[in-house]
Amino acid sequence: MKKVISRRQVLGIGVAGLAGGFALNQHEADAQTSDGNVPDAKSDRRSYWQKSYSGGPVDVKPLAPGLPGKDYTPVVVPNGAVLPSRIAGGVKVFHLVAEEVDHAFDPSLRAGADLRHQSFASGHIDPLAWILFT
Amino acid sequence: MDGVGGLTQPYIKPGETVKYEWTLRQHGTQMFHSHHDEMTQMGMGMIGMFVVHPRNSLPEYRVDRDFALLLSEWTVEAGTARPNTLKMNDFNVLTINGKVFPSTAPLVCKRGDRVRIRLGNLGAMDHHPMHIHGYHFRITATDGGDIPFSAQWPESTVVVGVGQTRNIEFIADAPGDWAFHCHMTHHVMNQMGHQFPNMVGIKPEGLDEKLRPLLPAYMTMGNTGMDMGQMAEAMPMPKNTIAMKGLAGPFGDYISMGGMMTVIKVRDQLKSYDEDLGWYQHPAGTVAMKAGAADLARDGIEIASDGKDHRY
Repeated sequence: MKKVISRRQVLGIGVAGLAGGFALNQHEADAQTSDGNVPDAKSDRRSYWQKSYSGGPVDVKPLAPGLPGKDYTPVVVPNGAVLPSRIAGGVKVFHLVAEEVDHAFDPSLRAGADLRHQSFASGHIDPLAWILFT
Repeated sequence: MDGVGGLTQPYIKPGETVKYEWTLRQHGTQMFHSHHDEMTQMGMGMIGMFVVHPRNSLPEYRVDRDFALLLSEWTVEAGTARPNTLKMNDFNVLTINGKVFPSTAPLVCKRGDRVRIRLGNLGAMDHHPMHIHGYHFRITATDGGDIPFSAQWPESTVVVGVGQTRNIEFIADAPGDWAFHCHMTHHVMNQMGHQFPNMVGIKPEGLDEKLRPLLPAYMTMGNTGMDMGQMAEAMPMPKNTIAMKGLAGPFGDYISMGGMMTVIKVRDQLKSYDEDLGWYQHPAGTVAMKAGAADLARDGIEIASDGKDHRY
């Protein structure tokens, strides 16, 4: 069952959740605070030395992967592409291939291995601006 | 996982497939790139953005338009097609999501939309002060995470340093075609060359005509401001080369910008964000125009009758 809680409540509960395995969904608490640094519950002062590891708290169980349109609104990528993904075994899977591509900065300016490459009928995904979602 | 070839993992050799598997416990605007011979591999485009949305997002997180733009820079000598990643300065192709203006797609918004633009910079050597015309915005997040509301500040130009990301947010409450560009002047030109004499202030009247019998394509550059688009029409260009600046604009003149520039198009009515909107129709009285004699007389501004400046 999901409780409706305010941001402040989330911030306040965060410490307890981390320390004692509080029943609140810790994912939610962590997702709502910007950096995992939460105010000290007693003084309401922000503690700057709680954690710095960018990976967030390590003792949380993974959730099922978020789905576009349901769990989040995808970003818009002008001129770019969203890297396709699939769910396999409860994990969101992306496949990046590093390879030579032909790229157009503009129709009049292309980059390729050689100017002889005039057809540019490549089916490759342009490597620039691949966007991953979760 | 967040590593460097040789330090935290072996290299990924040609033909190999390597698995990175981890749990995302944070959200934010992040980036990814090759970490082996970065000069070459990132310089050739092995870069991307990695956007992580929060679970059960708060209302203030939700926006109508959430754009992701990755900035980079390249050196492609005029007439060639192979980026030269050995170049350390004088990059001549400055890109947003791999495109230079006028090939950058506009950011289309409906009036009143809440807009977030995520900017990342994985170019080699330059930071980019990204400037929006018509709006101010708040800087709401860095690559380290969200900035608390009380610590966000208003800006009209946000510096995105190499390796950094910045989220900016604003309400698109003013319709128009608003330029959005890097404010470094050399970053809003395409394939610029620098091997020219300084012609600023020189009055080369008649010089072009005298030289043309000898050099048919000669055109003196930069004495009153170059119209690069027009120049591209007049001058022969090497193969696979883009004009330094230019797109024929709505007023008959070329838009004298290129490179790291795009346009935010905001309209009162939209059928679709993918619609080809054309140029903004400016309401009367909202466009700079020639000052008439009556305007000048009213404001006490005297212009010589021949239109020339006789102060010198």
